[in-house]
Amino acid sequence: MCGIAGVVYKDKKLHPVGAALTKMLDALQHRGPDSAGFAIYGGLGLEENEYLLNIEVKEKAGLLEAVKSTVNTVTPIKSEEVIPSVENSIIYRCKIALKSFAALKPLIMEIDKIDDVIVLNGAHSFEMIKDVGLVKDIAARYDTASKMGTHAIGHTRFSTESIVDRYHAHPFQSYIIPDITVVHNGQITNYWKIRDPLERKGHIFETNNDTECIVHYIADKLSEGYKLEEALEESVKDMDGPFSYIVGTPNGVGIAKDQLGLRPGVMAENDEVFAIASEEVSLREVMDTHNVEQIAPGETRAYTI
Amino acid sequence: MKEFEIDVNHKTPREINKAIKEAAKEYDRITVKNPNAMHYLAAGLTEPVELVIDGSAGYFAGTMVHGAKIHITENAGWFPADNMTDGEVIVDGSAGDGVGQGIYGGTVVVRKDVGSRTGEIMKNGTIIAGGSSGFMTGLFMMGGRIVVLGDISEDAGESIIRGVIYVLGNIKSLGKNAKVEDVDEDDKKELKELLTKYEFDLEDNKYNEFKKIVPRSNRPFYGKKSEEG
Amino acid sequence: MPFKVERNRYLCRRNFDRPGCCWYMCDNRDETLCQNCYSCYNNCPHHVYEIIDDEPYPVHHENCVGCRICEEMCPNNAIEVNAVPEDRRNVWSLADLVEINRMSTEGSYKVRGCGATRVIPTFDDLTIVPAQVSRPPIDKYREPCNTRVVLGSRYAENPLVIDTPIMIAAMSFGAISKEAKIALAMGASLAGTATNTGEGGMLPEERKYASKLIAQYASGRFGVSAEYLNNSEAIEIKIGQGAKSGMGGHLLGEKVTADVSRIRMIPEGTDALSPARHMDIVGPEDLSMKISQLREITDWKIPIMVKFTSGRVSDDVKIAAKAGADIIVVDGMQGGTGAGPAVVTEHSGVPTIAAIVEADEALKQVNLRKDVSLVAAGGIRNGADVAKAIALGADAVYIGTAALVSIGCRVCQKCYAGTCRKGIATQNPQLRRRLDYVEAGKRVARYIEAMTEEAVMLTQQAGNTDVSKLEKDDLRALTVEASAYTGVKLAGLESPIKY
Repeated sequence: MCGIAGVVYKDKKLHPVGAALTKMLDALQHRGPDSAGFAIYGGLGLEENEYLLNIEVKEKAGLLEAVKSTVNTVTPIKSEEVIPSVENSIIYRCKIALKSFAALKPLIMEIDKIDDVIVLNGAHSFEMIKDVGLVKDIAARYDTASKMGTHAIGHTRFSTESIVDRYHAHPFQSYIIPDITVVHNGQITNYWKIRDPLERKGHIFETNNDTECIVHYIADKLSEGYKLEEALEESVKDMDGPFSYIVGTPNGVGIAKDQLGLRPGVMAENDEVFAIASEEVSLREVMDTHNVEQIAPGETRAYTI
Repeated sequence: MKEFEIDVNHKTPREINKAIKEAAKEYDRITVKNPNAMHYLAAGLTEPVELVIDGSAGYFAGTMVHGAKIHITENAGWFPADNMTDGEVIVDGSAGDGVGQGIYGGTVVVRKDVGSRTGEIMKNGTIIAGGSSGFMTGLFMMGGRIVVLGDISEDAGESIIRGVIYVLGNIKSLGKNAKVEDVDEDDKKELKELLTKYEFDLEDNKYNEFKKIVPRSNRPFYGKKSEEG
Repeated sequence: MPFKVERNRYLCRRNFDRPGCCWYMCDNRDETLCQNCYSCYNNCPHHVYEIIDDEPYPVHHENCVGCRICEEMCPNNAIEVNAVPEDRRNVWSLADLVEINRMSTEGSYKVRGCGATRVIPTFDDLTIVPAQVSRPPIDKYREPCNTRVVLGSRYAENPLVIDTPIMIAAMSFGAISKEAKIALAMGASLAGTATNTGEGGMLPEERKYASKLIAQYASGRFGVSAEYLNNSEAIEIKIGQGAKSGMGGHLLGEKVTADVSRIRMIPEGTDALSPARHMDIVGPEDLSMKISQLREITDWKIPIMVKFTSGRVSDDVKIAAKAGADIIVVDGMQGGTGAGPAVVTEHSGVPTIAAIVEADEALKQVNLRKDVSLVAAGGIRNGADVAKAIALGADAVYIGTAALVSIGCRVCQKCYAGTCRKGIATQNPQLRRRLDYVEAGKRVARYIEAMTEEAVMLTQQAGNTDVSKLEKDDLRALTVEASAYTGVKLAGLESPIKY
């Protein structure tokens, strides 16, 4: 439930998208005070098969070393960074190389086995920043203003039925295919009917949050060869409840809205930028909004670069 | 005419509305600069004042106004003029869902497209959309009139009980309890008066193309079958 | 539970020399017309009686709901209604057979008034533990006990201050008559508490007689304007109500008379079926924006309440608290209504005692227990229920059906038809005349005052000097179920039953 935003620079070049999305999310702060998150695509500049891990580690003697040694037994840590965070935890970021994408999820699960440690995400083509608290505090803590990229999606959260912590902040990511993220405003009321078949196919659910369910659903569809537009359309037929959500992929973003159109979504574009958000107030941060389009009930849109 | 201008940049809705309500007692015309799509502008304004919102307004612009005339020079978010009891809200750009939701009186004009559920639960008053109107326009409408100069989307007039929706463009589909009728001379005269007043210039023969959506029964759920028709 | 209705022919025929034998609640005092009395036949809301050979006979026992209006209104005490043991063959009770027959004939679900009728855990499953020497009881006759409560002081400049923690719940003009509205307003004022407009707009007379009036803001937005909101002492955003959780108000066309249609601004004779949810409250951020919107309209002066039916209580309460509500109301599944589909009334929601505990716990979890007031509703009848509700975590309670019973309601469940024999749930002028609102207003006040005294007595029993200081440890559960629902210690075991 909450505020969502996404922005794409049409020329595929690097832009200060972190700064742009920060402003868009700050404008949606009133839609959710609990946590906020960013998935900023295109600016990481990793080599092929390199991945960036974000790991939440409790401030406890020896714990960080344990994490490092677990990672090192699989693959050497290429570079690392510690971000001081809040609530007695730090964020440990490290760059690693893996033989294939398929090795990423098992590594994450291995690290997650350590008590008081949780991997927030692992990515190749986007940078995930998510934390509890207000947008401007998170932006300052992670210096989002300096992040360059081609496109990004983000979220401000008003929690409903699941807990508030960094891990449950949006975006959610799926590892069924690489680098797919979802931010979501609303609720999936047939959650278990969507989740159960996906689990039976072997996909792993880490939370009871319905947004995680959406990201796995879309990733599953994409992995089966659906185009992003088609996956979005299928989701509108299959999922029940009020929702509008934005998907981020390595080459674009998409939005889908439930058939009764119960959650808001507006979009605007010009020659340079395509942007979607919960409210116009957010779009105004990245462009002139003389022409704002309402996303209609049951409608989906995608923009790929 | 006594005029007043307020720049609302970096102000909270509470401060702005307080300032507007105070100024409304003294001035005839108030201009709000830099509204920046902020929510609840002019909420509960009950003075007969002219208010210009110079830019876009957010959600619930002019909610529950009584007697004020509000002019928004760009777009409005969801629910502009929500529950208005008397007055005028004019939006030069487009607007989101629920335009004129639950109004009891007054007129709402949006010059471009509007979102879904326009005029839901309205009891009286007038809503004009210069462009198209979305899903379930006139949902559970209990009175008043909606005029749509563009197309109207699915389930138009869903569960309408009283009132009328005039449409110039296409009607994608009708909702439960809605039916389409032709406009008669009185309708055309009424429409012409109304639209001319709000500066929509339509050629005379265009008025023949309006259709109107009206209720079938005034008790679609618990009434008797014989009440239909 | 089926009922057997008996009319004693001899008693019925006695005293027939009185002028206008049907003097009692009679709407047609014409001696010449009135050979027989027919009060039972005329006043039975459920067509139990038939006239055979000029005499009324209770024929259709299966229709009887046990309201005993016929018994009460018989001038000769000739009627006796008795509950008979339920005939049940495994899952099949007589009521099931009758209902299937009705559905097969009419092809529609049943609409009726009042709350759930089946057995649901209630306050009766809890008891107050009396103080002895471990802690001293307080003397009812000589020592003071506070009953005054302040609700909604979180953001509102003018919180709601009431002399007793018992308020009158939302019942709309339309659902009930003007006379009933006035009686409730007068009663509330005499007892120093607040009443509620309900969702049908504000009756001028109600505003005149109610010293504290809560303006309800429901999904149909009937009679809502800036003036309506600013002319009240608090605003209650009604998200849901216990009797028809997940549905909006149902006012059937039979009761939408000219007066009602004028105040609600809806066509006469149409069904006012409010939307199931507020069109503009679909998620938590919407509720937060709604609260801000109403505060802007009312200049942050009065408390904003949010009323929920009891479903996912914990999540909903946390959301409302975070969204900035001053007061939260949880209405358990026993809550009543003027009209609702019976299937929803009986089969959705959770019991009041469980809802209160869940709501209280949710507020503690978000660290807002002190800031946000909690009001409990649904099936509250007496001072014991009030004391127990407060001990479970509420700050105050609402009474709805109980307040109507104090002015004559017999819970006949026919409120929706607009033919209320007691002049309460009707807009028919003849029937409305039956309700003497001045006397009824006094009855409401006396009832609330007596109930308050009862709650005070139990509070003092528990060793407290302020009703609001009752706590969960002052309760014991009498059943394993009640203990498991509420976390109250099981009597004798001295610890809660935990799963």
